[in-house]
Amino acid sequence: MSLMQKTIQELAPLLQSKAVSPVELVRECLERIKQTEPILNAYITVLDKSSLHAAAQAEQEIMQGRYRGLLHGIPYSAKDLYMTRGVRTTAGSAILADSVPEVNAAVIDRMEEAGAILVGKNNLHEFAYGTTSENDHFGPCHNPWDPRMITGGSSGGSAASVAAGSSVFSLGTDTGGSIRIPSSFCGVVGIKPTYGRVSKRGVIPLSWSMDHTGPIAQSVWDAAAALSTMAGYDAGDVGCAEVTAENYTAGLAGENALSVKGLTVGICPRYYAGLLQPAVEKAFLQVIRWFEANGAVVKELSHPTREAFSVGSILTMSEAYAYHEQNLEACGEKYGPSIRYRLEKGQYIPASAYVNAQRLRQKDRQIWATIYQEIDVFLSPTVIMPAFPIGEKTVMFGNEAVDPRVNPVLMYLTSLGDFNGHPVLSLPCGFTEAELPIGFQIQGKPFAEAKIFQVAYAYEQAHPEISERKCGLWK
Amino acid sequence: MEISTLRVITTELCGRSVNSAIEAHLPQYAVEVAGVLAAVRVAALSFPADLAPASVFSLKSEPSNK
Repeated sequence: MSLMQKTIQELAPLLQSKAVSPVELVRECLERIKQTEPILNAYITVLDKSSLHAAAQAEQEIMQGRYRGLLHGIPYSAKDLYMTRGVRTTAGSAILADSVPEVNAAVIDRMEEAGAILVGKNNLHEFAYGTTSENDHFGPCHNPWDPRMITGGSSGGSAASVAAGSSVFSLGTDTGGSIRIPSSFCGVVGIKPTYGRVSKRGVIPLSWSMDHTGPIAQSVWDAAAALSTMAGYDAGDVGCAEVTAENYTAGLAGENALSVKGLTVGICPRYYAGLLQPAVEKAFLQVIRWFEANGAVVKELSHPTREAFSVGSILTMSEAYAYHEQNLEACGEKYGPSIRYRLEKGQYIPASAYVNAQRLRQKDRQIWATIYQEIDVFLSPTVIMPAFPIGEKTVMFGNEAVDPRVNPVLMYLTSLGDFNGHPVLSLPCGFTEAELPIGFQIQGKPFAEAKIFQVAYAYEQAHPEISERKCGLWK
Repeated sequence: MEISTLRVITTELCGRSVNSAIEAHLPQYAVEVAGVLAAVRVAALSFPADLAPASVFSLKSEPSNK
């Protein structure tokens, strides 16, 4: 078994006990990237020299008894939206094709301090403004379960690399679902933490009030380990909350960690009635049955409504336009056509509509706060459909055929979590007949990531036939 | 929404030029923007007058929950 098939949970003790060297592990990772990149196109930049140098340093430290913790010596990748000192950061765009930052994103610094080793920068939907990761400049990301299919996006390269074992975990971003959609399509675990839980300093923005940073990993435990390092207050990010960081893996030990008994679980089938593809509907029904069969109480809610979905887009449209306005005027032709189309629309949103969208957001948060007095977590499928072929012109949204590059159809279930700012985790819950992964998401109260990890872990551990399945690239 | 209105917004309110990429999409923008603005107007009808906008940059005032 390749080392790159192992999780952080499996690798960390091997590294700590010196049974495996970080150099050996990073070499395997780089070899795996070499094997899979011609198929996946998951990376924009691969850092072979610097990662081997960092691995040698980690090896020396561990040999000298200076083991830093769970991520020490672990190879990881980052969406090419995270600034990296001395390494180009393109945002998947021709506009920043040669942009080399002088500083790291705060989270990259945290990873460095933890001894994790950056092996490369992942491909993405241009400027993170799209959900298919069909990148006009660097080519599309391909799904490791079927390379003809999209990965979802915008953190498509991140999810693909984790699923294919060309990184152990990856750093993504989520403004309307960009961590969870590709996690669902690629059969991995991704969490969008509470707004403000993780610093966004040094991450190229799409929409300041909607952007979140978080990890994508092979398992719930690994996502918990990665988030434990990412999370924490950063005075350099005005959106970062002064909330103490937690060790999320600590809550995943012992018998109680595997139980959902007594939990009250909210669902809202009327929100997606008539929209789910049959395989997604079937897989999610089985999820609900499992929770019921294991002692959880399932409560049907009348919230959310479509209002938040349609009005929430105003925030991203306005904020993204503000960020890109000067470039749109000066060099608009450098943007890919679909992102340029979406960005330009933002100039037509009046300020009163933006403010009212933020007022609706406040109302929405108040409603959720009331709902969470009666439930512990809220469940839904992650995306209404599984992955579809790269280049597909239209997909069905109910009875309507829509272009998934300009219509937010894939974000229908995920964008609600960006709008209310609550933490949401996506994990696999099944496969289509064509062996494409299907995911579901668990939302919790603000800053209740520990609870979400515990619920997700219980589900994952009870379903090894799903969680241990590997993509076709390992066969 | 009139396409000419959008042109005026681009040039006079935003200080931009109406390039060929924008021009080509004005009919779609007119429909889509009108739709989304109508949705927010309807939503706002149910707001109490003193409803303040969400705190844009943090949830830190929310109670922490375990």
